[in-house]
Amino acid sequence: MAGRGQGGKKGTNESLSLSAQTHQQILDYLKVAEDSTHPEIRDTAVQLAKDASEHQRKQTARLQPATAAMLSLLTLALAGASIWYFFVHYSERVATIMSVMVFGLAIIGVCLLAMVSNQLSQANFVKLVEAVWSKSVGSLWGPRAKHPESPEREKLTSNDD
Amino acid sequence: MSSPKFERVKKNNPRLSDFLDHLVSYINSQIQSGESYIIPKIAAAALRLTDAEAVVLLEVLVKGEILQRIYNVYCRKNETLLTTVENIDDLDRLPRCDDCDECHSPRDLKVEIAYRVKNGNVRSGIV
Repeated sequence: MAGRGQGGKKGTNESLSLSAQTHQQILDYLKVAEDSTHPEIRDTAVQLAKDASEHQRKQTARLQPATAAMLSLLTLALAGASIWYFFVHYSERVATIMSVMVFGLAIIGVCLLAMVSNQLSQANFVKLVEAVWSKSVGSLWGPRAKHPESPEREKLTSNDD
Repeated sequence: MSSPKFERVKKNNPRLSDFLDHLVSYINSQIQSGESYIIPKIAAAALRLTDAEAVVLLEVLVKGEILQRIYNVYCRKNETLLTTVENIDDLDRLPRCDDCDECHSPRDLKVEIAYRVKNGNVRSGIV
């Protein structure tokens, strides 16, 4: 049975380090055990696999989750202080623009910290950055997007009709 | 009389109690016959379980700090034991293979996962 776990991913495993391959081998054993005919072993295998993945995630994190949380808090506090400063020292319109940008950057910073501490995947990080970008920068430049279409474009559209 | 550690493991995993009793009997018999470590495949055959099931039970004992996971590294070319390491990260810092007189890449090596009694006198067994 173990052969299924070890042999199945041989092609992809060859590029991994020996420690990563071995860790994968253990996870494969646990995964195979999740199909055990003994329910008590099956449940334990699920729990062990979860613990092993969590442990591996912590081991490979470039930043400890607690440190990342502290830095995120600091980033948000700085962003809050900056926003307060903008509204005190600048006109409301300028302060709003700068606040939106600072808030967007702070959110991206927090996401980056979460990604570095292995709490957020790269794919989700990209999704969040795109969402923040469209909400902050998109909202600032939004009115321009509502300008009427160019005469050439209008002409083309009318020709289609 | 079971060791307090083993009793704690059984208390934390009451549903596995019978399996763990059989496994520990097997481990003790192996230790008494002079084996210094337990190979999951052999343990599985002895307990009439699959390899994966045996690994789960052995990992439960590792979690309970009764056993320790070790890694036997073999050279694929000569099928010789290159080294045994206790820490998985040490697998990436392996010594030069004396038989082949070269530093092997991961594809030239084979890792066998094994278990041995942790922090104890191996001769005394677990229970």
